[in-house]
Amino acid sequence: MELGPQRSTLEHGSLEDLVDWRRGAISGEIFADPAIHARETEQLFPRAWLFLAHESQLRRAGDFVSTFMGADAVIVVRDGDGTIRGMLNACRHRGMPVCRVDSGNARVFTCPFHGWSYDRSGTLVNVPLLDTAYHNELDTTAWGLIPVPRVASYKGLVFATFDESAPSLLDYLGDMAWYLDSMLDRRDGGTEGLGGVHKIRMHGNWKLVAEQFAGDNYHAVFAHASAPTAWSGDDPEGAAPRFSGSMSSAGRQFAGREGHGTAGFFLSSKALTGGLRAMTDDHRLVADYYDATNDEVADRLGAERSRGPSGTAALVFPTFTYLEESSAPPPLGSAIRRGPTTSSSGVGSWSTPPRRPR
Amino acid sequence: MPGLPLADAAVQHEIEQFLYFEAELLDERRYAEWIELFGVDARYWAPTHANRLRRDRGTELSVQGEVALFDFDRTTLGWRVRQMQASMHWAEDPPSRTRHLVSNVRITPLEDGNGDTGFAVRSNFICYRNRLADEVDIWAGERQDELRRGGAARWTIGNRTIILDQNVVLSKNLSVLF
Ligand code: FES
Ligand SMILES: [Fe+2]
Repeated sequence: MELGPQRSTLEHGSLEDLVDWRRGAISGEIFADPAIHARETEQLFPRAWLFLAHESQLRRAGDFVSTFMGADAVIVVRDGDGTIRGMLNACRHRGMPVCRVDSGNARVFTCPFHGWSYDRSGTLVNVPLLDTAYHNELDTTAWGLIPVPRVASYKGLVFATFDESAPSLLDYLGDMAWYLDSMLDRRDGGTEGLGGVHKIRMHGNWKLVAEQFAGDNYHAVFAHASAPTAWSGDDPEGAAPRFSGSMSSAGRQFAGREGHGTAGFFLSSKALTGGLRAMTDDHRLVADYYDATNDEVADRLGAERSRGPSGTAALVFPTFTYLEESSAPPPLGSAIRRGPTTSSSGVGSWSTPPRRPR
Repeated sequence: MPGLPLADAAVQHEIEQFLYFEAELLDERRYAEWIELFGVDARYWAPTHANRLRRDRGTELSVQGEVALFDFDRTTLGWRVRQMQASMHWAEDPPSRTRHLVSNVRITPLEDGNGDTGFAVRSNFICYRNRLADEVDIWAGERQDELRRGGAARWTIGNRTIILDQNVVLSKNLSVLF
């Protein structure tokens, strides 16, 4: 076999040749070709709405989290006037990250390199030795942190885009909002994020994750077969057969033109909580909770969404994913936070149950 | 040095031997024996480990009820063991090769006594994992165990907290036990 220099598929074909949507076939090149990755970096990640945080992570003025939008490190902070802002986590002096922690509360972000400080709105508020180093000739108003131009929330989830001309977040979510509501809007008060973020590195192209959550429920019966076996052993009446049984009940697959997707099941209330009741006391508590709130949720969202979708994986294109599982509520959100490079991306996971009364 | 706690040499020896025995059970994949070391009320828990400013120290670890890397009671830890042995547990088939190294064993009596009921035992670990053809993971951390007297191996693990010294989990999975 001849090993020539690596050539990009894009040099001798178009993206359309790599994706045959009529047959549901795609070329493996889309996961591996650096030219495709470069095009995504230029044309996709700067334009899409990307998930940043859950509002409950930013309750008070000065609360911040650091995350990524595509390859760009960003700080998300609640300003003194209550606005949630996003800004590039890169000092305007020589580019050092000004925030190197996951979260906290701050009045200013001080760059560890030469000490430039930026306030919660990104304004440059202190430059050490401004007089001797810069003869007081630096126009500090011109060197604030670069803002992410648009930040918007949907029922507790904060998204942002670098594209000033992007459609509104609501338009971008499109019909996906209907599905998101079954996680985010079940009750008055919405959801809250539990503390802690489970971060792991995904060794693979970001689109593998996106595609997975957008609709591969097919794998669950096989890939996760050891989980129901763990709950119930090899009992023929146990969780494992019930698990595959539920997977063969009628489900629903949604694919939005924006790239969003989800699949899941609308089970009867009994099927929804029956599996939980067979597990542990903790799971029975969750089943009780579902039963006790069912009518309230049905009033808000309609009977159908009070019972699902469950066993759900979902993608808000391109990087926000979540699971809503009748076996393991509360819903788990995760997002491709970092990178993506061609071959790896960082994934963070949150748990976002309905908000507790406080 | 005032305040340096000095555990009884015999107790120190006994507990270290117990921890080595436990590591052997894990490395030899004798999970059915391993789970028997845990008490009925045992909790097996590994918090997430955030990067926080020095002034926010004390908030790096998630607390109970928040997101965790592991959060098992005795029942669900038993499930995990059953999963490790299941025929369709792809993450561990073929099984990982592990070596649990345990050291820096620090022992203080449990609060309810002078050691006659048991000890709070902190130990450091390095777990080397080699998987499939060439995948290598090295996890370092601390375990905080509550060891009570009794049980087949002389000691029973009442509670275990695992502090993993990683912010982003760097391995592909956490399919081994610590
Ligand atoms: S790089 Fe930030 S102050 Fe110089
Ligand atoms: Fe899955």
